[in-house]
Amino acid sequence: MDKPLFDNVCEEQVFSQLYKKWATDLHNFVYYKFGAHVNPEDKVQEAFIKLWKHCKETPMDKAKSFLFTIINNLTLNEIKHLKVVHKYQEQQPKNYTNESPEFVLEEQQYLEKFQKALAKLPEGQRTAFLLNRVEGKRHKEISELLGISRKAVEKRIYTALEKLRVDIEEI
Amino acid sequence: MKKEDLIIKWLDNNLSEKELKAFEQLDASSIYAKMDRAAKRFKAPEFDMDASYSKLKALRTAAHSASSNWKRYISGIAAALVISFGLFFALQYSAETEVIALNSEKTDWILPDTSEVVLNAGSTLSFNEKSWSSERAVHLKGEAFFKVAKGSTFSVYTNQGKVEVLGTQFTVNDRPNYFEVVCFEGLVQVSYQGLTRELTAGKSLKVYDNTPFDDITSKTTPTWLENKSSFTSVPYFEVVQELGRQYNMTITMEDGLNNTLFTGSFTHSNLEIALQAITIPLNLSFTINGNEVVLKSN
Repeated sequence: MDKPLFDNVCEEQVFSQLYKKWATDLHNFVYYKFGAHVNPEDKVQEAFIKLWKHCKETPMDKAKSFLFTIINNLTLNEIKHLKVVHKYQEQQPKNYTNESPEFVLEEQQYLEKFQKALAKLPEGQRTAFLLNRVEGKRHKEISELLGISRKAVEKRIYTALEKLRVDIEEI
Repeated sequence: MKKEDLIIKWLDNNLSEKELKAFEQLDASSIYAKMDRAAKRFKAPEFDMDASYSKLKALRTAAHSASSNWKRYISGIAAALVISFGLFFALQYSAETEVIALNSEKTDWILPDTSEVVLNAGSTLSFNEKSWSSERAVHLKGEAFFKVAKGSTFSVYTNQGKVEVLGTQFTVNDRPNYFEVVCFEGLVQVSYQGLTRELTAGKSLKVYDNTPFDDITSKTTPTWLENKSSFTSVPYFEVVQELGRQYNMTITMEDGLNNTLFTGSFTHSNLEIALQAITIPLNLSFTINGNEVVLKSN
């Protein structure tokens, strides 16, 4: 069996590598799950500081699940279930110039509907869906990030998609 | 393939060309595509990794130093130790006792171990009362007679040399360009610029012009204790300086006389008689002018 080079993550080098590898994912995870108002960047920092304090007892291959569990708990401790409304980005890439005012308005309304529907999703489904659709993560990657099976990820994303579709039509 | 599986595969960006065609045939495919485009607009804000990491580093050091409280403890203890040591030594130094005999006066002093010191005119003696029990040591500038009580080594430090005894009576005279130790009883060890000499009772060592001279004395106490200064083959400048100290006078004379050796004595009670005693043998005359005396050869 391969023996890991470092049996803990107290080395600056190891620690910074972990940061580079997981910080963005952690940030996005918190953002999609809990929204912008919980300040995802601060949560990432807190999680890594926790990891630093416990660096001696954390082997490298346990660091990822440590980070995701900690950041989830940290955020949950701070907030109890709340309705998450994500902001869509105002600026639209201008790849076509012949937009009619109706089209722009329609697009605007559609996004608002989408936003509401997104807010109604359970957080597990929303997180998986957005990680997949926005961040372009494969199902396998998401299952590793969230610590659930690939089948569960597929189910969550598919359910989210269908729910969104129905909700948008209804609204 | 079932519709659900197809959509799931599409969601995983994992459709083959054939499957993609089949997906596009679905009624809702355009709706899904539209939703997909819309979803892209909900992207998380950009995460600045480098800035965030440097911020984390600062936080981490703060967290780390907070968790290592014992280091602060240790440094606190160390600081306290340094301060108390400093105070201890400062107090030790301030425990220095100084005994001074001004010009034309003599001073008696009993040291902590009952040793007696008599300081001749224009002399200073200092010693540390606190460390006396571990080291009997005094610092001397000028001339003094010691009657040392028996015990551990008793040291007299002067600018020019060091005198060590166990228990005896002796004088040490440390003047500019003149150093003299006379032993009246017991054994005295003199260290003078690398030279070590042991003096038994009745022996004396004089050093002037950096040259040591051995001598003997028949007396049992220095004559200056009886208000009389006696000299045996002493350079004339030292004789004149001693007279100046005893009467608090400034005496000037020709340089040529400085190293003339003088044997004789003068009293401490009458300036005129004392001056005659040191001038007549060398065929000199003197004039007294207030606090100043000028010596001239006839």
